[in-house]
Amino acid sequence: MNDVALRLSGITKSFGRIKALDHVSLDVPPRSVFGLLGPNGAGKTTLFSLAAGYIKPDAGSIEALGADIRRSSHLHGRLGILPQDALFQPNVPIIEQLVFFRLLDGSSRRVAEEEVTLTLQKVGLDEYHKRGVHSLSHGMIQRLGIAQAFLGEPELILLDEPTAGLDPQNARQIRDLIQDLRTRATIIISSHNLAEVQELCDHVAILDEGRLVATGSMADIARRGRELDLALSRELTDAERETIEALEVVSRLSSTRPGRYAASLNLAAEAANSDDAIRDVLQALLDMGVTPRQVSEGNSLEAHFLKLTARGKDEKSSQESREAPGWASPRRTV
Amino acid sequence: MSLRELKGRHLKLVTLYSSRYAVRGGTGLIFVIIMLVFGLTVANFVLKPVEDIQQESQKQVLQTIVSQAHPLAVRVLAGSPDAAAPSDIEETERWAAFLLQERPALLSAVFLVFTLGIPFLVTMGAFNQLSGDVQSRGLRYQLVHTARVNIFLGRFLGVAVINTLGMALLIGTIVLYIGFKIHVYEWAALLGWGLHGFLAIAVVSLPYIALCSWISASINSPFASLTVSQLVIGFVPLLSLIGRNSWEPLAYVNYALPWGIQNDLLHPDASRVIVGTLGCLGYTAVFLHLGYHHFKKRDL
Repeated sequence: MNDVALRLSGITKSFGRIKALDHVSLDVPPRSVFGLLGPNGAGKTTLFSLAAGYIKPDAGSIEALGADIRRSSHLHGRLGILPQDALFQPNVPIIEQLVFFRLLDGSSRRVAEEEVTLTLQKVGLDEYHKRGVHSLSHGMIQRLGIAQAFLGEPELILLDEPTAGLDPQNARQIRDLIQDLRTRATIIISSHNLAEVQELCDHVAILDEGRLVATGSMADIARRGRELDLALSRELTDAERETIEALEVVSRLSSTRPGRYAASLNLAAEAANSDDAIRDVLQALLDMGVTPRQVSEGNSLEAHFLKLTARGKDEKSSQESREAPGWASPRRTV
Repeated sequence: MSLRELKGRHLKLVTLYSSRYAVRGGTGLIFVIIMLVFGLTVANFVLKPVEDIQQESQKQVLQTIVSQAHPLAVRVLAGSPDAAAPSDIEETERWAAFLLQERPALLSAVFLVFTLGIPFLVTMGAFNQLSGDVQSRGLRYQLVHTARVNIFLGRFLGVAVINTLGMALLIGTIVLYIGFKIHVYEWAALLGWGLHGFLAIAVVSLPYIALCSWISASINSPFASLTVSQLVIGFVPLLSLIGRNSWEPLAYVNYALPWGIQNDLLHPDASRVIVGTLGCLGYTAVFLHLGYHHFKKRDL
């Protein structure tokens, strides 16, 4: 097995004057579910399109499943992808379209039809197999896209916003399918749904304005985004704030509204949880004669995402003036 | 062209899939209908005057029509830039006589009109080989299953298959109609010349389908692809025809497309037929190469 499922090395891609990706280097470990995050326009879809060979990079190289992406014939039948905004042929029955893809992969017609029927059953579309795409709803078309991405036994699956436009039941069904596949394939998901990414993915990368701003295991990224929301008995003086910020476990303390503070935690890589850090912060407050009235901890991918992305910073700064920051689940109140 | 990624099985699958669903989907069906309407209209214009005459005098009337059509045929055949030379005028006269006297004249007349109209007609079926699916990004689903070369050539072959089948249906109908309805030619002569004409028209169509492949691979909008294809195909002979009066070398512009050689496929000399056929296949190869060169590099 290859040591990486997908390797991007110094990838740059521009569309006219707009630089969609700027020297992005990234390794996706095999058999991982890899989340690709970023605000709109960050370059996620461009990265997917490059990885699938739809578009060519201006600079850099891409290796998928041990083969240079330019030698795409090595990847046929091994790569599944749900592209964004790609339309199926409206007049062709959906079973014929999917069978055609499997025939190209080398299956016989009988095997292809069996595989397609089974996959359509998994996404709840088997009743509609003789229909054209024009008679399907948006959610059904999305599920059809997912079915074609899962067809056969792809070793690398790229899913660009797989649950966009799906109702909660269907979204759950798709997440379950991804969970089922995680032992057999490497799956890369781009999504705006951070809770979904946090649930599904074991690795994550964050893109912002075409640049890779963070990458690592989900545990590591979430650890970097851990914050404490503190409701205190009184306002802290400048000296007291400096004391808290001087703690080794706190990287930053900011006031969110009167009497409330957000402390960004700086946890050691080997820390199993944040209990010691919370204890240190609470102890320091008590020593200064400040009573913590409410303490809640955000184990937050969202917090880190917002911190790293430019738009997140903008939104956070405007949010800070209005109210306390929201927390992504999971969350616990101490 | 990257032949390493060319797979016979993929080529066959893409060809069959694209031709089958082009016909079912509408564009291919409309193309076949337009082709039949065009062909049968041309046949009607050519056959009607003869058909209207009493059967016993048909041969006599046909001779009169042929003699009247002779200068027109000479003008159509004199597409070569050197046709003004006395030796070429003589040669063209001989060529017209071959078509109108040695071969079934009614079929020859139909074929001559077809060679003029087919370049415009094939664009109706070939303009949307790729542009629509590039625009809708529908090609993205296929790109992870097969190489670009198979998609590009498969779709070209798909249109060529539809065009050839449609042409066979059309010319077959005309030949049978002449054979059963107008009893002025022997069946052997009619069938032999009909087959020759069908093959000639099929070969002449190929470079124009390939030209449309190139244009369709370069322009995302199907409508723009159709417009550009028609303009390019029409502009070349027009420039040659009008331009040669002011500057003689402009007559050679005709050779930018197969306009300059395509009539050779109906020539009495076998060598000219072979050279014309090879020429059309050469144009096809060049247009396919240029089209694929663009298609393999472009963002899809």
